[in-house]
Amino acid sequence: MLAYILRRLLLILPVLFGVSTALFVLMRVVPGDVARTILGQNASPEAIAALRHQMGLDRPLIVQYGDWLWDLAHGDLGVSLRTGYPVSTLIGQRFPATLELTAAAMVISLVTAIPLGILAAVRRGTWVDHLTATVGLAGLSFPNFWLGTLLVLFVSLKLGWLPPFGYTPFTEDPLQSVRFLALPAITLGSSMAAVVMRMTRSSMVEVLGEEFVKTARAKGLAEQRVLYGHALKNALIPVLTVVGLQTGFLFGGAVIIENLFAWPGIGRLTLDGVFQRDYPVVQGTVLFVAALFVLINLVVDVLYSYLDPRIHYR
Amino acid sequence: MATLERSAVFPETARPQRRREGLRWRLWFGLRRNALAWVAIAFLAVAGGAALLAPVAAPHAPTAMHREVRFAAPSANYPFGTDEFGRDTLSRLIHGGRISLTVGISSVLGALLVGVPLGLTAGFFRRLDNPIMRVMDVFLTFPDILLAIAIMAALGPTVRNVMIAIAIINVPIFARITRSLVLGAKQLAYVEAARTLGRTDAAIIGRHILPNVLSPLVVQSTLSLGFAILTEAALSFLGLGTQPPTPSWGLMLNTARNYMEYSSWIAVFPGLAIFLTVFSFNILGDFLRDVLDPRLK
Repeated sequence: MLAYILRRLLLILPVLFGVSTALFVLMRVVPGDVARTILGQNASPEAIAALRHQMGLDRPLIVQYGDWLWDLAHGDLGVSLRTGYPVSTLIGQRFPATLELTAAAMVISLVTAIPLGILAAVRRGTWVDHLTATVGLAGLSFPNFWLGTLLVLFVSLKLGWLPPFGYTPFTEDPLQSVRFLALPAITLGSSMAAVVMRMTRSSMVEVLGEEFVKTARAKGLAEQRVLYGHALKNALIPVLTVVGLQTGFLFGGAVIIENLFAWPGIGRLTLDGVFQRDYPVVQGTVLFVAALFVLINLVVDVLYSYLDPRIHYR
Repeated sequence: MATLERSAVFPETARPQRRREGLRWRLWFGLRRNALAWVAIAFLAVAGGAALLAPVAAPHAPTAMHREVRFAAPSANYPFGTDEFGRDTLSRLIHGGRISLTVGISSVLGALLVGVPLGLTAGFFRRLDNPIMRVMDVFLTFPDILLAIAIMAALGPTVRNVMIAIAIINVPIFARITRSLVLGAKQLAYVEAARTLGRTDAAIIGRHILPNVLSPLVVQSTLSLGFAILTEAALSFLGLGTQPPTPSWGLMLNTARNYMEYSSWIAVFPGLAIFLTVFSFNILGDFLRDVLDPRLK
């Protein structure tokens, strides 16, 4: 098992290498002169040359690429062009807020999606099943930025129940923190809930048709025991993959939701970087989230073998 | 003569005709039992028709300002109300639909044109499998909206770049599906037979493998269309897509946030347009999957 984890960790390296190369290429295809774009059309040639030098753009591409990889290997994501802070410091400051938001979104989506998925599977073919199927598909199609806008409009502006935006760290004032967190977390969690619910339903339907479930019923176990003791445990294994994948997408979706609710997380950092043409920040944050995505998938794979002893890893 | 020879060697070439009839029957039979699919098709037909004929279908010009009726509630003259400049929301939605559908269709087509050949090559030629698919994996490592944002940051916010960004996100998805289907189809007896007969690789791919992978690609394209429209709206909502004053659903929703205290309507209709369009494509995709490829159900 330990050998497997180590091997998987090693296999992450080529992936991260590929990701950082892709980002390097992407940030170098910026049309026109990056330095001129940053400083504006009226900047003096000296200022542009100075910035090009500061950014290392006056060196050969291959040297720039080597430097970028070398710095990355040392955990150096570069320096923000606007604030002068190291990008890794900025990420460190903003990450807790994003983590809070995504964790809350995940809890909300799992707590609603898994019971609904089970219900739909147990009542397969009835109106409950059809209703949840339609709601699930609708949830997948619902633009979460629209859901967020509607929640702000009705829950905050019309009813005044919750603040439309703002942030307080949980450690400072838990109650206020939750009040700020509620709307963005519901918004972010909604699309994940739809995916998880659909997966729970189809996985549960499949497991309920298996022989060991029939055996459990045949030996006279209470239906609750059959459902939760036998079927659910097995049905949740594929759900876990989806949850792992979706967690990565939560970090992506956070860009939109953090922007909508003025949430001071990594997503906003990325978007501010885009608008301010702060390329090192964009590069660093996107790379950070991609790396996180890869790690989460590794954790899911490892959890798999715990949950399903039939899966062996070498 | 050639036809005779083919059907003599491959009695199953007679099959496509039968299969097509079967397909038509399955589609019809499926539609008869699926009211939701009808609604989706009807909605997409109306929305698509309106977008296509936008200059005629829209009651007002999309950028015409009627300052005396700013933030108007829905009425006979302005069925969906007006915005902060007194522009007719319905007309702007119809014109915005053009952008959504154009971006959706062209980005999915672009992704198909690049992704399918890549998947075919990776699946068919073993030596190229690893290099192609590892590059695809790198793109799949990014959460898609984040990749789109990074691409938009590099290329700049224009409609054309939105299409490119969304196409890039979709390429690995199509490549992956095509590759796995090709790997499956390669094992089929008639593909082996064609190879034994000395058919060229191109002929085998074009005549025997491609038709086999079409159904799942149709399904995926439908789902990707909905997703592309959603992504375009999200990028425009963030200010990275269509730029004002061009009407786009995501952009309309973005500006609506500043004024929705005065008029809730302006925050409702653009979102509804995005939702209903994406929902319809998803319903259609689910329906086609059930009909075309029951194994995927």
